[in-house]
Amino acid sequence: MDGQGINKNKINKTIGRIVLYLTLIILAVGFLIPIYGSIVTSFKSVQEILTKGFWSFPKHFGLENYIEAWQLKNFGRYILNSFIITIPSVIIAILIASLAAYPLSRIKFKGQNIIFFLFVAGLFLPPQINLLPLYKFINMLGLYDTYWALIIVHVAFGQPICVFILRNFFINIPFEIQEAAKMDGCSNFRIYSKIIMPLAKPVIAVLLIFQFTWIWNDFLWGLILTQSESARPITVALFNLQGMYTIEWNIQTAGANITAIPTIIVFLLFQRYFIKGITLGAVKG
Amino acid sequence: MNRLGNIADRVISPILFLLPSLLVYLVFTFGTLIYSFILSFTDWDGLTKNFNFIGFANYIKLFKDATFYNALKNNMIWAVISLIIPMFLGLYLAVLVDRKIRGENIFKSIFYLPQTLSFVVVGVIWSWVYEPTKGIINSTLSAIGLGSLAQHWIGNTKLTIYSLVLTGAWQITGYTMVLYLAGLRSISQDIIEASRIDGANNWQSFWHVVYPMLRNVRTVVIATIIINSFKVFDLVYTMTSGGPGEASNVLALFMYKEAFWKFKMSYGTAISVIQFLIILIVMVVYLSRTIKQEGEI
Repeated sequence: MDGQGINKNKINKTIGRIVLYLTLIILAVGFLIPIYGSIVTSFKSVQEILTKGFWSFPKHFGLENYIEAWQLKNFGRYILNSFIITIPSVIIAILIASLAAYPLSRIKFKGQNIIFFLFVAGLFLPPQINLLPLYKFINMLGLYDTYWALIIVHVAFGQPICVFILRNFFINIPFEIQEAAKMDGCSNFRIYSKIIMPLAKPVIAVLLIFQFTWIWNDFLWGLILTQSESARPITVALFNLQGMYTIEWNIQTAGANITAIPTIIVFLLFQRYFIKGITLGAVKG
Repeated sequence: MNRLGNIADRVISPILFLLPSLLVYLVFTFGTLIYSFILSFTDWDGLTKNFNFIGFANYIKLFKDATFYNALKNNMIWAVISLIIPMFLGLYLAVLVDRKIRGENIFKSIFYLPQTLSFVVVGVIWSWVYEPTKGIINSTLSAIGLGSLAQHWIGNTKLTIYSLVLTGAWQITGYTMVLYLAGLRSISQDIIEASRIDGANNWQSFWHVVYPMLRNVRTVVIATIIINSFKVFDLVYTMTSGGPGEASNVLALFMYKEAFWKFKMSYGTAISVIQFLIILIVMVVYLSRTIKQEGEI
């Protein structure tokens, strides 16, 4: 009787496991279908799409559509633009945010909380409220349609989340380390650069990855603040491609895949950091 | 000397450290925020440098504008549906992934993958999903003999906003899953064990023990979803441009069109001010209620 009960329990458990995995697999497949569609379609000809529809498998895996998307919209140039905008934005944003996070966490001074609150408030700010005045301001500075327009904006809008995460990390580093260094006559800048920053490497890695994806994926600012090939990011170029080729789904999806590749590579390489990053900066949408 | 050094440490160095970040942040976000309020009381058209102050004219016009109410309604639909689907699907996925499964990282990555894509990429992918003749949904429906259910998913005025929200849900669910997962992992196993010993089954211990303990995570998820729902722009612009007609218009797009298509810049700033105030009010009401509830316990 007893033995039977255990056996039954075991069977129930196995069934439970099977159901669990089945559910997970079905959901995962559901999540991937749109992406699968985008990949297979990018290898088909328009003829194939029109006659065989979505679920047919591509006849051969040629890069024709990728080459066409690349050449027609001069994708190489736009990808270069995106890198030229993204990399300095990420580095400058994190660097100056780490400088600001240092006194907010490691030095006591009047107004500390108010300043921190100002940064946190920025997390809730919808960027659209700044859109038109910024457009005007960037024009006044003569920066419209330049890399600098986008770099400045990305740096500025990156401050709340970077300061928030770095400050919360810095504040948990034991103060004894700092006191000892102070006794030895270390300046604040030396403490920041020689003690705090090396300890913050894991958090900085998280921020680098997040900022990279957010800035690379940006569409709105690129749309508003640039107008020509000389500074427009790849996302806006993809949007224009979409407008030009309304029925050539093969070209459109090829363009979309090209645009997504850098962020997907970063994601696959640094998955762990992504998951960690969300929990660190949970407020950012 | 020591005193001087002290002053340098206490006053000057915080300022120097803060200066670059605070300057660029305050000028470009708070500065332009204030500028936005000012411009909303003018007749600035974006083409000329000069403008006149016209009082509340833009706001009066806005509150009489049917497009505004239509866009606002769509933002609200977006928020309500997003507070149902990604909220609960994300929680469900987190619970599944949390059950000590093999390939946990693979599943997590798959569910999170859409979140790493640009909205423009998502826009292209899902426009193809919804394409009426050869798109994924309709061709699947007709392949399994349900062709009569095929729809113009984003071309139909009644369906379009829901189709867009669904795309948004696909993108944000991975994010809510990761947040809930972090919440689940922070709950001590002992507490769950204790409830089991008291005779609770899986479902009871989840509903009565685990779920209430996810309160903080839930606050973050709800806040994020509300903010996102009221600022959505990219997806709508790339998939429908607010159409057909005005059917899928949202506040941000309404603002964009008035400003850059019709050159009514100051009217656009008035729209964005109202959008900002709506988000602010919703957040203040929601967060103060949450904080009050926490105080009661």
